[in-house]
Amino acid sequence: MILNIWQNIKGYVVIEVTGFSVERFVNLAVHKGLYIWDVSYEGASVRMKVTIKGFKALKDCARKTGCRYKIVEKHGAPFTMHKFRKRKLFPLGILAFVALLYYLSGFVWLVEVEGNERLESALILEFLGERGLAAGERRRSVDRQNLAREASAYFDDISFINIGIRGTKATVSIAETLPREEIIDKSRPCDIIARGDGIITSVFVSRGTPMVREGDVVLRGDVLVSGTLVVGEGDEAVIIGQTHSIAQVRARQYYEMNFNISRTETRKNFTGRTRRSFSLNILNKELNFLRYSNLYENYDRITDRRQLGFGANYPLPIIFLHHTYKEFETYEITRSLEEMRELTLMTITNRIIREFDFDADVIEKIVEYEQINYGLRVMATVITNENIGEVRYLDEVEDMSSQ
Amino acid sequence: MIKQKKQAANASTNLNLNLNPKQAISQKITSALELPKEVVMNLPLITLIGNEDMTVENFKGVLEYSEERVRINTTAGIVRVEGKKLLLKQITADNIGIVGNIMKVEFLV
Repeated sequence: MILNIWQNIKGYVVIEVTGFSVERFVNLAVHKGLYIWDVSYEGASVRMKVTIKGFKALKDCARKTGCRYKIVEKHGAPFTMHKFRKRKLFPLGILAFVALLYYLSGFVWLVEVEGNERLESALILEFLGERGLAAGERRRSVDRQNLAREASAYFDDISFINIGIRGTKATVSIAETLPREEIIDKSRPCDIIARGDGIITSVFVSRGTPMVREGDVVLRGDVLVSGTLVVGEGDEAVIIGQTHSIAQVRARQYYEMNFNISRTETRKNFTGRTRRSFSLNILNKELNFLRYSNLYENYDRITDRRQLGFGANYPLPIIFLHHTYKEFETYEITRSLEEMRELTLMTITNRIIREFDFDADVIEKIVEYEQINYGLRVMATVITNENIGEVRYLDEVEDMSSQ
Repeated sequence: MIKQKKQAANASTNLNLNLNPKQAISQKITSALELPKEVVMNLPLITLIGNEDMTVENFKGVLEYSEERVRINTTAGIVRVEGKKLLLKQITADNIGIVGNIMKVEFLV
């Protein structure tokens, strides 16, 4: 295979040898060090392939063995070049192609971000794009070290960043910092206030003055534990200082959920019929080769992208898109009352998992249904026992009151 | 008398292995040292892949070539290959490749 390609580049001729002893002719040629291949018998003559260089040495062999030979076919680059010798623009085109390739390989055509978990790639790409590292920028004009320094200064979450450009691909390697723990400044005085309405179930105070007790009803914003330390009662009360309150206050809280469950639902049923089409995206311009005039009524399109290039390091600004259209039919399902109820409970459970605090204990779920013309109207009340406290710094309160 | 004996001994080895005295010695050395025979004794190394691809290394020359029969001269005698649609895939100074439908490989000593 590789030898074939090499022979095509060097050029070879197919010759037909006739005479009394073709074998002797071949032996002599081989003895001289020529390479002969694809020898085949054609009845009166023998056909074989020799290199151009070898062909010139054949004259002597033919004279000695009394054989005659003639060229049947010519193959390879030297003959092609000879054929194109009058087409002056042809080598110019090749030259232009090479030059264009060289010119285009001086640009960055793909920027990749790797190593990020919390930080979004799009954010980093946007930041770098504004500062001159994006697809289509000249490779030389990218100041990698400066960019890396700027990026690590701008993003707090980046502890290390390296921008590497190999070929036409820029790879941004990031190491993120460890998630920062929230530092609580215990010297800063604060109250603990209610972040919602509820009935207090338990109060544990390790610092501060408790203002509520078990069974109290509190509204949102009520002070539960005060950071102001008071000695004495009534008119004799004296403020002796302020502290950072620490307390665990739990309360019974009520949440209302109102939503509708419909009796019918439209679903997809894939028929299994698919169609494909291809398109090219060159320099962000899409070229469609094949566009169906009457595609299916309902379909999902799945697009597979592949960036063309030379190996992994030389992507080109050409993206090959492969679309698959999957036809589907829609059908409606109708739920029974029992199924609608099941769905209701499932929806509530999902919302509890998604929206509620991890430490919230669900005490009770009160679900009321009302049948309406297209399904169910659900009014649910979820009762939880959970932490109700929220820190409010005293200096922030003063700021607000002074404004 | 001694000469005759020697000749007889030589003759016997020649008969058995078809070798001259010089080759007989090199044969013994090669087998004692486990050297590759095709290198030391210049014997042909013949490789057959199925019945369609045959390579003969260390060959001396092509004696006959047609679609049904190829005869190759080697140090171990003439190798006659018979088959159908035989084709010499490549020929270099010491290597010849035959492809086609090979049916028979014979040594003519």
